[in-house]
Formats: sequence, structure tokens, C-alpha cells
Amino acid sequence: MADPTSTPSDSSTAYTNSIGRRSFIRATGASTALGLFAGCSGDGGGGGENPDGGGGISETVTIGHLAPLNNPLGVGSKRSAEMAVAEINDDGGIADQTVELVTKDTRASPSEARTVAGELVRQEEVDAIVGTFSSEVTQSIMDLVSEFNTPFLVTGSAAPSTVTEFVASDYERYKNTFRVGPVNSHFQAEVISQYAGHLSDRHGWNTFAVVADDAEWTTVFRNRLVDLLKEADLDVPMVNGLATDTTSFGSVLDDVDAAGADAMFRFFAHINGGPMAARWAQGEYEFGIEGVHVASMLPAYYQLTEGAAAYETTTQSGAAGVTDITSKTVPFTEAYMEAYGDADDPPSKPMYMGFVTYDAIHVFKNAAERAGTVDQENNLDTIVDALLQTDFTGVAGQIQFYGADETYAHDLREERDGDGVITNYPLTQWREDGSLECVYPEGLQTAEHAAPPWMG
Amino acid sequence: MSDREQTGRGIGRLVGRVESVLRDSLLAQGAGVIGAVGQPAERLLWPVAERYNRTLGKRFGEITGLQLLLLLVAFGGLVTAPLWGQDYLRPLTLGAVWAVFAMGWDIQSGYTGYISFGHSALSGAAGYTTGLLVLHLNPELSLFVTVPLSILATTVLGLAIAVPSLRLRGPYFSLVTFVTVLLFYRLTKALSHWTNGLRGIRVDVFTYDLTLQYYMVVVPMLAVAATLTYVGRSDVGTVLVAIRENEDAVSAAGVDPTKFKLWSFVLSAVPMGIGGVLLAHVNAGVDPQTFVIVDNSIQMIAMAVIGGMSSILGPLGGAFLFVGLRDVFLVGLGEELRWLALWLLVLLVLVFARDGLFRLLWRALGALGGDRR
Repeated sequence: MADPTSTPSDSSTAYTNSIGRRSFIRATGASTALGLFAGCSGDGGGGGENPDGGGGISETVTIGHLAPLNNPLGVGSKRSAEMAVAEINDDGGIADQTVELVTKDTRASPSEARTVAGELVRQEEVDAIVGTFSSEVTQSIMDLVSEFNTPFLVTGSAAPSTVTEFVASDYERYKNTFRVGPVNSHFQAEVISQYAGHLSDRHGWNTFAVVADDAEWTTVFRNRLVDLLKEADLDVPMVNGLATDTTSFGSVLDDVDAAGADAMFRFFAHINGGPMAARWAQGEYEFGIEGVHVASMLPAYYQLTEGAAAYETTTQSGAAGVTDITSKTVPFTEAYMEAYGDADDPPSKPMYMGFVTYDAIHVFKNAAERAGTVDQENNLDTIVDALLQTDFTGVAGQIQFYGADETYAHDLREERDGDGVITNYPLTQWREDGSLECVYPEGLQTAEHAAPPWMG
Repeated sequence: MSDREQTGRGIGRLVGRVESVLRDSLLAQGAGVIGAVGQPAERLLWPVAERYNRTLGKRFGEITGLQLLLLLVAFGGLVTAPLWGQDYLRPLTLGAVWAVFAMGWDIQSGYTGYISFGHSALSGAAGYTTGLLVLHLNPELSLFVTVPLSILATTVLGLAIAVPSLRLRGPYFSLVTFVTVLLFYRLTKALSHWTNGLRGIRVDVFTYDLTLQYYMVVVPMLAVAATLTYVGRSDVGTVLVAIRENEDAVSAAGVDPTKFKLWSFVLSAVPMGIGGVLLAHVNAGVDPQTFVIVDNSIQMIAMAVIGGMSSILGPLGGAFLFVGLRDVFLVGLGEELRWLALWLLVLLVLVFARDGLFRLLWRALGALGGDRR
């Protein structure tokens, strides 16, 4: 498998004949139509590209939100963003300015994301963008939003390359981008390895199979996690990348079984592992299903799998709101459920991206007020400095960012307890009665991890 | 007569009736309205069209005054778009890229009748050539290097598909192209350490100025349109259409159809290469979803069908119509309904107006004037 860090960084890519927007505007006075029609038209067709004159905070503060709205996670993110904006407006807005939220659908496609991100920065002239669920989409719009100096708070995707190959390697260009959550998959891998140790202590499970989406975000699990497990004297007899459109799992389960694994760590964001859980429960395979599984974060997942989900675990920022990560976690979750719990379309809970997006909007508000401006066109550095000073108690945890000179520049800092255990990436487990418990880390536990009963 | 035959005939009669109602009422009335407005305009423009016919018309086909007006309005609209359509520059730019694709598909499949389902593999080859060069060779490579190489790679791939398959008659060519695109799509994922899989490869945009970018796409598109129109109206075009109508007759006349089919594929691959490069830079990257996936080939076909196959300018109009509906007018319907509406439109055109909407319009305008009544 490819090591993502070995791809040559192309951050300094700039065709000599590619013209930056600002230098072009400088050179022409306005973006007129190639000079062909200079003087033909009063406004020169500059369509909404005029910087707002360098004022401080404008009439309204506009926040753009990008998410795949065909995915419940995206919908949860949108609703959580609306809640955050409504709260902020009830509380006097950002520096007494009303906040406006504009959500656009990325349709989970990089090219669609570029189109709608272009609309946000050019036509809506947003003061910040929050969201994006997949790393492919996140990275596809970074050039564009950096060109417009727009603060970009990533709330869904977790590939470390978003910071290592962009922010850290060309800071001047990508300093507008921050990751508010979840902890990046480099740390996620560490969480999983610590959790494996917990399972080993609790159940005597020492052999683990790794099965993952064949996608950018899982390369860390297929490399670093395997190394960490081996360092901890745990066996990893099987590492498997599955095509993201995989729908049949019989052979995968048999392979894990044949490898003698006590548990299967599966990392599915694109793949729906529901059918796999059904087959696993029906066949009473002698191993646990653990790891990261986006579909399993759906509040309706237990019903959708007709109970087969029982005993499978997944990590999720916010722990689905079942435990007091901070004093804000449960109240926020309850407020969301009150507003949307009975809505026709899922999710009935915020889901991880909702928790993070909600926090991101508050983080931006606080930073903008500290900076005294949302005019990113002229004062990006001031806004970036203010964001770097963030120390915010959110619903998903305590939010602080890595500094400009660190490996994971502008990334969410992991929180650790006294033993070095990372605490802001908790695991939840479905139970036999359809309830959801937080089983790890121990400080947040609502119940102990339970092994499937057929494993005796 | 069996039940099935009766049902078949019943449906046939129904379609026939709908067609005749459409023709007699809507089109006749439409022609009446156009006639009332059109006759004076035709008289006004005819002298200009006459002059064109005596000069360029020999190369590009003769036109009437109203047809000239349509061309002038369309051309003027395209050239002045940044003045009236700032908010629509992105869809217009994408429309122009897809117009290049649709015309490229048309000169091969529309003209010869050998339908290709694999043209997105050709545009993908160009995009990926640019992407791979930038990623693995040198991020600073000049466009003067990447563009010709990308077009060359597309042509080579085109020949690799065409040489073995175009010698065969019947559906084999279509099947080969179809499989090729599926293969290509899988390859982009299988070779993900080279291609970055679904994430794709970042490519620098030409410019962040939408107006400038628009012209950087529209100018090549107009050049492709002029070239392919010229070819389509030349003897080569005639032979290609003859191949579609009756390949045996072409052979009997002493012309080697295989040779012409191969030429048509090269003629088609070059614009696909140009379009692929344009899309890579407009899109700021190449990825399998945007470039290779077989849906893209189907969309090119749909554009050519809506506009009118084997007319070059028809697919051009069809591309703008399709992208306009897709990205501007039908966006409000939501994801699912939007695509339902689009494919329904394509189906209706296939059933009721096989020659395409733009050809209908063209003929309606032509019927009003000139000396070809």
C-alpha cells in the first residue's frame, strides 16, 4: 500500500502562466472581460468580487457550510450548524452582527464541491466555511478557499494529509485551514491501539484483523495501527483494503475467522457494514467487530440491521451524546433531539459531524470577536492568530489547535488523561436492547465493553 | 394476431398519433409564429447570408438569413457571456467543456453510426496524462508540454481501442468501448499509489478569474466547432455518413470504410484530448468520478442526441442545454428528480424527435427562407 506521506508535495505548484486572482485584479483594475469589452459596460462585469473596502465586521456575517446532504451525517451537520447560528443570533450575533448560514450540498463529489465552494466564496462572499465530510472533498477545495483567504474549518474528514501535505508544507498558502475535529486518523490509530490493549486486558483478545475502505483516510490504519499493535505484542495476521463499493462480505468474514482473530477492526466510511453485521450475527462468528464504522453511528442503525448491530462498536466524536464529555454534550444532544428527533428524515441525533460543526461555528465566533474582524480579505493573519489561540469547551471536547510550526499545524489537539490515553475520540457499543453505551475511554464509560455472548 | 402484436401495434399507433398531433398543432403553430416574425427578418438578412454562401458556404454549408441570425445570436451570446452572466460563468464554462466532448463524440459515433460508450475514457486519458505528469514528473511543467502530450496520449489510446474493434461489424465496437471505460475506471482505483485513487490528482487551475477562465475554454471550443463543422461538411463527412447508411455500398464504391472509421476515431480523439485537458484545469484536478466513470460517456451521448446527432453544432447546443438544465434550471428539483427529468427529456427526444431539438429548430428556420424551399 502507498504511504501517503511519500507522495511528493505539490504545494508549490504554480504554472508560470497561471495568474493569481488578486494579482490579476490588481493588474486590470477589475475583472473585466479580457479588455475586449473594456468600457462597454459600466460595472465591467466584476460580479461580486469586490472586496468590501477593508471595513471591520460587515453588515452580516455569512458562514458557508458544505456537506453531502444525501448522507445523514451531512444532514446532522447542517441542522447542528443551524442550531449554533440560531443560538449565536439569540445571544447578539458575532460582535453584534447577525449571522447568516448558507449550506451547499457537495453531493460527496470533489468536482461538485469545487463548484459550490466557488459559489460560496464568489457569490455569497462568505466570511468562513465549515464542514466537508470526506478527505477527497476537503482537499479538492483547499486551493480555491485559500485563494479567497476564507477561513476554512474542517469538521468531518480526518486524513492527516489535509494538514501535513497542505498547511504544514505550504503554510503561507493554506494557513486559512483548521481542523476542528475529529482527531486526525494518525491519532485515531493510536486510540484504536490503546483500545486494543483495553480489550486484551478485559477479554484476553490478542489477535486482530484489520479491514478497511480502500480510501485515503484509512491508509493510517493499514500502516501505523498495524505497527502499533505489533509493538504492543498483539498479533495482526490480516490487513485488507476493500473496494469502497463492496457489498458482499461472506469471504471477508471467513478470512477473518480463518486468520484466528479475536476481533476485527474494520474502518468503513464508504462501505456500509450493515449487511456484514447481519451475516456475522447470524453465523455467530467467533470474533468481535470493532473500530470505526460511519453507518454504525446512525441513530437508526440498530433498527436498520434488525438488531444484528448488537455488540459492534464504533468510535465517534461526541459519543452520540450518551455521556458527559463536557457539561455541554448532553444538553446539546437533547436540544437537537427535541428539534429533530421526530423529523421524517434522519438523523435523529447530531452524529459526529454535527457535534464538530456545532463547535466549529462557536470557535469561529469567538476567534472573530477576539480578532475584532471577519474581513479575511485584508485581515486573514489576525483571524488566523485568533483561531490559533482557541481554547474552547465544546460539545465534543476541549478544542485547541496545533501551532503553525508543528507537524499537524492547525489540527485539533488530542486530549490525553494522566496515563497518556487519548480521551476525545470515544467508542460506543450497540447493546442487545438497542441502546448505545460509551465503552471507552474508561473516564467516559457508561458501561463496560461486552463480548458477543456466543463467544463464551 | 397475438396479443403481443396487437399491443405492439396499439403502442405504435399511439406514438404515431402523438407525433402527428405534435407536428400538426404545436409545430405548425410554432412555425406560424416564427413565420410572422421571421419573414421580415429573413428578408433583411438574406443578402448577408447570400454573401456568406458564395464564400464560406462552400466549405461550411449554405444557410438562410434566419439560420445566420441564430448563429450570430449564439456566437454573440457566447462571446459576451461575462457581461450578462457573471453568476452563470461556471456552468457556462462547464457547458463549453462538455460541448467539446459532445462534438468529439459526434464526429465519430454520430457520423459513422458506430456508437461509442467509452469516450469518457478518452477524456480521462487526457486528464490523467496531465495529472500524472504534474504529480510524478514536475509540478512546474509548462502547459506547452502537458497539453500536446495529453492530446497525444488520448489519440494513442483511441487508436488502441479503434484498430482492433473497428474492423468488426455490428455491436462489437460499442461493447469494446464500454468495457474499456469500465477497465479504465477500475485501473484508476487499482493503481491508487500512482493516481491517488478516488482523491484524484490536484492540477492547478488556469486562473481564479472566472471571466478569463471562461474565455480560455470557449475559444478552443469555438475552434473545435469550426474545424469539425468543416470536416463534417467535407467529403470525409459524406463518407462517414455513408458508412452509417450502408457500409457495403461504401466498400463497393472502392472506398475502404475501415480506414475512414479509423480516421473518424482520430478526429474524435483529438477534441476529447483538448476537452480533457480543459476539464482538468477548470476542475483543478482529475479524479475517476469527474472524468472516467461511464455515466460521463452516457451524458456525452445524451447531449449529442438532444442537439441532433451528426450535425456537430447540434451537440454543441445540446451540451449547453443539458448542462444548463443540470446545473442551473433543474437544481431546485433536488438530486433525484433532477436526473429523472433529464433522462426523461433524453428519452422523449429519442422517441419523438430523433433528429434532435436543434436540428428541428434549424429546419424550421430554414423552411422560412433562402431559396431552398
